[in-house]
Amino acid sequence: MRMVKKVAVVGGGISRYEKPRRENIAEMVAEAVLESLEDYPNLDLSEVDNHVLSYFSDHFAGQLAASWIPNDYLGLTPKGITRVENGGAGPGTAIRAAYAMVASGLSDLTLVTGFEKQGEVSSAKANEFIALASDTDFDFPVGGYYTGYYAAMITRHMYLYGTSEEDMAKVAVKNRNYSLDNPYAQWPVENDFKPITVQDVLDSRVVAWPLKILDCCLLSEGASCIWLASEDVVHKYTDEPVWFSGLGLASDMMRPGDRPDNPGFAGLFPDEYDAYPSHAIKPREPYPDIANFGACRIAARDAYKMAGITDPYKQIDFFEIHDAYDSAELQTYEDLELCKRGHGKDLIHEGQTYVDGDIPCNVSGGLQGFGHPVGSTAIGQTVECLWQLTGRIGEKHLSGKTQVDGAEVGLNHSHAGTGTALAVMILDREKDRRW
Amino acid sequence: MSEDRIIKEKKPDPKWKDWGRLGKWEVAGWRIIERDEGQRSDQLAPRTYMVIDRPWDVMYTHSYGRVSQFFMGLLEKKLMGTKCPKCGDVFCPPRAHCWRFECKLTETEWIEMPMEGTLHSYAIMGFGGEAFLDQLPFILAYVRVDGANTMIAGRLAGIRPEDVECDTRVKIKFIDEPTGNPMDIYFEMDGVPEHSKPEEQKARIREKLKPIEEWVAERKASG
Repeated sequence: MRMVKKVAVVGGGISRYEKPRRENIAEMVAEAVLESLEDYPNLDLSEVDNHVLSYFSDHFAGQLAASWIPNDYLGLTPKGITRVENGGAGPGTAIRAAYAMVASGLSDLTLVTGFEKQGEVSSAKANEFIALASDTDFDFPVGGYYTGYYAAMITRHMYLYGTSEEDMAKVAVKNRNYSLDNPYAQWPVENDFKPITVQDVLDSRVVAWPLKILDCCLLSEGASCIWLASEDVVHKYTDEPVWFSGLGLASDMMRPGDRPDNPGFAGLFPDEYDAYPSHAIKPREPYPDIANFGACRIAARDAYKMAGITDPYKQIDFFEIHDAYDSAELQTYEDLELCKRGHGKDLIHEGQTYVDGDIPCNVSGGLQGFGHPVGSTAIGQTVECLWQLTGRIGEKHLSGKTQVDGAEVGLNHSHAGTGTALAVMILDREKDRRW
Repeated sequence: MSEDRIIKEKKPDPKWKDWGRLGKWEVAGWRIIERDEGQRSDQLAPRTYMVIDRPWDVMYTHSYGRVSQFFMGLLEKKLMGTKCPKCGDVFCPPRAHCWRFECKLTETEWIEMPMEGTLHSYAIMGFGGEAFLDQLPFILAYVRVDGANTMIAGRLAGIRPEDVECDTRVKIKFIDEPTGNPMDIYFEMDGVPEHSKPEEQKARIREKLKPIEEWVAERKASG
């Protein structure tokens, strides 16, 4: 027997995203779990020996230790419950924690659930709550909040590499229009199931230039779940498991302003010193500066290494990315090393990240179309990965339009803060792939 | 979009709008509503819910910790930073201990920072928290104060937003009556930016900001 067991996703479900949902938090989680029980009839809550739950904010929930409520509502007491909170990367970090518990033998069958309820307060207050996850002594008091921080990050990227508002808008259009086929998605319901155009994005109201309202993701309510089983018991639950082949987790400075000279990145990316554009003042650590997400590259490299991936562009069939802003999706293409730094825009212009491109990204609709109930987000995206990898999109969505043909390997990306915590996971239809 | 259809309602006393911060978790108002709900958007059915208004808030009594001297400096119109005596890295915003592994959390020393720096990046804010709405549009800027290894966030004033560009020199100024808040300082362009956006892009930004300027003017006019 191996010391570290292989771990698979053996089921999952989603309770759709909207703002507001009128179900309470436990009922939304129960809806997601019920779907998984219906789709995977061999799953049995009585066999769960461990529950990991993710939600972002006690402020949004109006309830501390809110993980205990869905846990007892599902009838899981007296089994162990762990809440994992890591900002926007909370759900990805919860999956990682659950993976570690199963891989180590502490659990054979772990239920991972996530939810968020962001609609109980006004949108201005909701943005303020999220802004409290930035430095409240220095960055928040000057009128900062997340859209502003991301805007400053992409402004530097535009200055360095000529990335444009049109480049970003193409991402927003891609993701929102893909979500029209996803019955769990929020944007279609908010926009009367109508597609949008690049001009719609460019014409929308400025939130923090260069970001306009259609460049930004949604405030959401909703829930999702996945079931993780060890290789010893996977066969009991499904003939179509999806295996974890690689995982990475990394961090960056809380304040974006602390990143350009951060000694933590010294020497990690030697090529970036010469590659930095000559018209700009070069910081001590030119990568990530504030134009990119350094933690993403570190987490991705760790995940690639563990999965034996040497060329992610060729070896990974599709990506679920944390597009809190369309700008961040472009930056993330670069940080996942799908292209050279500054060339994220080329991928969207060439059509490579569409469903029929080389590297489809966010064909679920992403955070912009599917939605972003923070604690659920990367868990819901993992359910989408499960459906992609087992060819179920046609059955679970309104049609098979967003099924990636022959998908064997997928990447799920869970991102927090301004790239402050980053979890990357590689999921594979094969248990032991030999590249 | 699915809408709440009100079946029955007790409106909260309007005082709760202003008194939200004094809320004590009372049920101040409620509605019984019907709404189309369900797990998938293609399978919705009417359900009935009770929705309540429950105000709550809190006062934090917060210490600025060992970097209090930065904020005490603001009160005296002095910009303070810290410096690691081992490696020489300079922090503004300050850190009480050095960030390098090899310096083993060496305690830093206070220094007075020069009132000049370089704009690293910025955003033109078109929306924000309630407290900042009347100040829109404003420029949120990250500035490297000369000599610092960190950048500090603040406001850039005295320039049309579309004329701003990265890597230009700024002067750091104090407001007349500091309050011990990072808003006590702001930045002003020092001369003309070295880089400039194309005129067409500047015109577009100007157009995009007009509705925000009008919205803020209306807000102010209506008190």
